[in-house]
Amino acid sequence: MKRLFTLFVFFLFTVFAILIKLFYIQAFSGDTYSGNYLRTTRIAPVRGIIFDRNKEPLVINQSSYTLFAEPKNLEDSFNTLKEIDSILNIGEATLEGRFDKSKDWVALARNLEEDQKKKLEKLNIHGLGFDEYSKRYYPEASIAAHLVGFVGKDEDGDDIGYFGVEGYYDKDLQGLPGLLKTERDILGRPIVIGTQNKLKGENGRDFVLTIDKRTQKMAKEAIEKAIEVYKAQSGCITIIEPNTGEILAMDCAPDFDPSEYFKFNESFFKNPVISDVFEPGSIIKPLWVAAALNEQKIKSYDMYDEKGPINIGKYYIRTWDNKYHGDISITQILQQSSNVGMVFVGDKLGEENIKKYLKAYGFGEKTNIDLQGEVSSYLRKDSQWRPIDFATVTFGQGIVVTQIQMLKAFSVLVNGGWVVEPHVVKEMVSESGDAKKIAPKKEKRILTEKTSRTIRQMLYETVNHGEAKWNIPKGYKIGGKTGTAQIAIQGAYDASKTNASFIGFGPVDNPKFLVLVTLNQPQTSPWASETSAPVFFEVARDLLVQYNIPPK
Amino acid sequence: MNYHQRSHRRVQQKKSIPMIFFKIGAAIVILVFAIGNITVFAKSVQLSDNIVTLETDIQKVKKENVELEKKLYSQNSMENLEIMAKQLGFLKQAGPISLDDQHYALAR
Repeated sequence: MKRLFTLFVFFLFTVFAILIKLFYIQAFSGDTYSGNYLRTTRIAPVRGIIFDRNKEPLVINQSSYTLFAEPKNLEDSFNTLKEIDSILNIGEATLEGRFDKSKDWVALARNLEEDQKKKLEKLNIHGLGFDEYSKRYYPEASIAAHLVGFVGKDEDGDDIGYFGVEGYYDKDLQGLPGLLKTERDILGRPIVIGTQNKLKGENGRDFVLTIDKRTQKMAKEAIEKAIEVYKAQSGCITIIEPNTGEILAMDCAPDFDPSEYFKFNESFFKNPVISDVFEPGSIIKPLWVAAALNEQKIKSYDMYDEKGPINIGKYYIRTWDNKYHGDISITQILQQSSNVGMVFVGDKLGEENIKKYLKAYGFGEKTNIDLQGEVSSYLRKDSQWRPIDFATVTFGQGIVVTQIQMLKAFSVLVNGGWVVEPHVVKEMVSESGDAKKIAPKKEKRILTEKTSRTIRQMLYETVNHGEAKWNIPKGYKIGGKTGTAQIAIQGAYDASKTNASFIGFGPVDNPKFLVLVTLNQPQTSPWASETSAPVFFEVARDLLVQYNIPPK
Repeated sequence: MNYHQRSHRRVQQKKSIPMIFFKIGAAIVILVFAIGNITVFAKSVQLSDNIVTLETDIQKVKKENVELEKKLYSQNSMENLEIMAKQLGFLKQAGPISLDDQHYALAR
């Protein structure tokens, strides 16, 4: 009986001890113990892929690895580093420099590919490991670096898109992370009857751009060749579909490699088409002629007596070659790119209309193109206009614009008078496959169809009977205008430093493309007619073939 | 043994027979529960193992998919096609249709 009682007391004591321990765990240290078996995992979303208009990828994701070492677990560090170097070829000295015996963890190499990882794994060295992460891969290399942008890191070390599409649509591309809360046993296996909560995230959206990668490549090759041939400092080619505002290609050189963006200076990241302003020079002239035609202040067959320089206050306006041709038509003003002729057109149009059309064409405000980094050009206030400003603005001096603003404004001339918003994204596709199409935005109509038809014809005449002879594709009607703008340095124009540009479109009767070519400070010739214009016609010839546009 | 004693024993026997059945039944039920419990536990462990295996496989397949995607797009890239075309001599043999030689183009 006594032994039975002892056993009873023992069991009672044990049960009591267990109860106290359970009470302690649940009441005071629940967090500590729950952490051991309740595992919360962040499900990282997959960043969206960027395709061209034909659904061919420009940017995809790729697994990459960081090779790390735990020096305290490494037996023979000297031979290990030697073996690693035999596979990675980054230099034993470099590896030794990174290796620090006093640390628990050191990164030895980053950006390793799967093949390299497999080779290193075969070495079977205890104390080496890999950290996996996802990074962007560009199958077409830096074909559209400025336009696409790149993915870098923010201050917390998380991925973030910078510039271009990556920057503008960062949140959409990034997606939303999910959470997985599971109870796990001591071996890390899920406890089936335990908590299994999954908060579903959402992968980033895929983007289909308006860019055609064939056109983009052609533009890239053309501008790189032009910079080399004409010894320019930089240059850009932008091709837009004038009826919809879809950007078909946009390339500036020099550019950068988005996969190794960290090797480039910040100045390379800026897209000059949307982030730099310039004085447009003569390529602005057709805009004023169209405005004057639209307001019925002039007729295309009106004549102007070009007899000499025009005096405005203390300034004299001259033609580019200081030659004067007597009676010339409005079309000839464009053909000969006559500055004094344009002052006449501006005078006919009137000061209020000049201010009105500047705003109507969209100067002084952003075009709202869906690319990160767009700037707005400065437009002087109404009270700041002087008589000389009304004169110089007609031939593209005393006003600064971005290239994308110029393209938006010129689209109005060739598409029947509509202001269309330029854009680079055609479609967004969610993880579930739902596609959201981006419809072209026609903002308003500011020119009549008749005005558009007339100015197109005048620009066709300008190309065919202009100051220079170009290699125009036979059987096609191409229109365009040259622009040579001297660069203002410390308030004065330097005749040897110019921005040479050409804006052209085709076919004239039903424009399918509008192209702006700009060359910054070409050395072989300062004139756009001898630099940018030939580049435009090369590009136009390729576009006619690429888009199967038949001759007439 | 008188009549009363005999009848008392019979009553006791009648009472103890269902008690035995009850005890045996209870033991069987406990045994079944115990076996069931062990089986469920073993199954859940097996299921956990399967989940872990599947999770690993999914990761592996995803990784392979990413690698294959990269290889496919690299092979299909214009950069690569250009290199291959040059190697095979396609660019020299057949240039684009000339816009200035449209009779030839039409004849094709």
